[in-house]
Amino acid sequence: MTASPAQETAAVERAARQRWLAVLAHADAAELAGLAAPQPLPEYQWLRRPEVGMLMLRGRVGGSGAPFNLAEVTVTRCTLRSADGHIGSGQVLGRDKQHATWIARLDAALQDSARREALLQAVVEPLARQQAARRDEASRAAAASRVEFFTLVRGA
Amino acid sequence: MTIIESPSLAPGYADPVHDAQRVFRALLAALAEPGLPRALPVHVDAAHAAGVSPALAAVLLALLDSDTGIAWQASAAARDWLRFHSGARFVPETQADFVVVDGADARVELARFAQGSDEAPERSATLLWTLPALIGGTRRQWRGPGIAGTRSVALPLPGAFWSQWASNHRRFPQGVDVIFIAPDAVLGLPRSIAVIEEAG
Repeated sequence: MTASPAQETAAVERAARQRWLAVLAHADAAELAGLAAPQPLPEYQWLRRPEVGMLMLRGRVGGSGAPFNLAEVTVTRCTLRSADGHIGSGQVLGRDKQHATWIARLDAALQDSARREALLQAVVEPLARQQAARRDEASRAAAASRVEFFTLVRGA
Repeated sequence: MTIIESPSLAPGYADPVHDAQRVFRALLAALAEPGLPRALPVHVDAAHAAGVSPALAAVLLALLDSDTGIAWQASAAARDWLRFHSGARFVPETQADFVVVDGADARVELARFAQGSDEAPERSATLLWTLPALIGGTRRQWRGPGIAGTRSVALPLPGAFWSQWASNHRRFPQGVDVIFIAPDAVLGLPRSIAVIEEAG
């Protein structure tokens, strides 16, 4: 069943939002604050002030895909409504309320099509590039320590 | 449309930890001394935007969480507001832990709600009954645990409620409890209380 144009747009929107929320959540808090603070972000009203709680992370068993409890983690979350009516939510591992606040403020501003491009270029893309570079570096370092095994077959 | 996109989403407690504790304390006191009005120390004025009265909002946020089931004929905005802040589940009224009753609605049958069992009498419904005031009705005498002798209470409720209450009281230890919520105060009526009409 093919999706309607409206459904496709919504799916694209959702994917874009998931991407920037992931980049912001994985960012180093100080780097994020450094990039976000100079940006013109709208005023906001709290719906849920930053609070620290626990989430049960679930994984899926490799073969069967059955869910299991992987770990209980500390998460800080908050939700706000910006002056132009968009609702932004921030969720991040750890206890940094300021980090969660920046994510929520940016999430609300990025939903505004007028601000999106500028904010993506100024905040999200630099962080995404840094995270990709760090991943590549870690992969290279791990690959350098890789050991190749050879098996000799004796006899006939 | 997920809750998070609901345009009328409104804030909850201004100070979640302390507000919840203050309201819970007031509710405990109300049930410990039945018939004695307790001032409600917190009002969630912001909940007005979601169509929830400030007093009811304060009580709901103190009592509900993701483990409790609630039965409430509420607007979509009010439901979204409650689900966002408390995680509560909306369930049919025969299964609910908490049932919101609008004071103006006279046709309530106490026997319809969860009554608890002999082994687990606490698995019953608690009614959250909103009223315009806690006085102004026919005077009645309340007697039971938490009251020295009798206490005179004049809740604005129809006589039909009190005949149902007599049956509810006879079902002790099963039965339901009621918390009456006025704009500024709450008043508790646990199932252990007998209510007698004043003579004369």
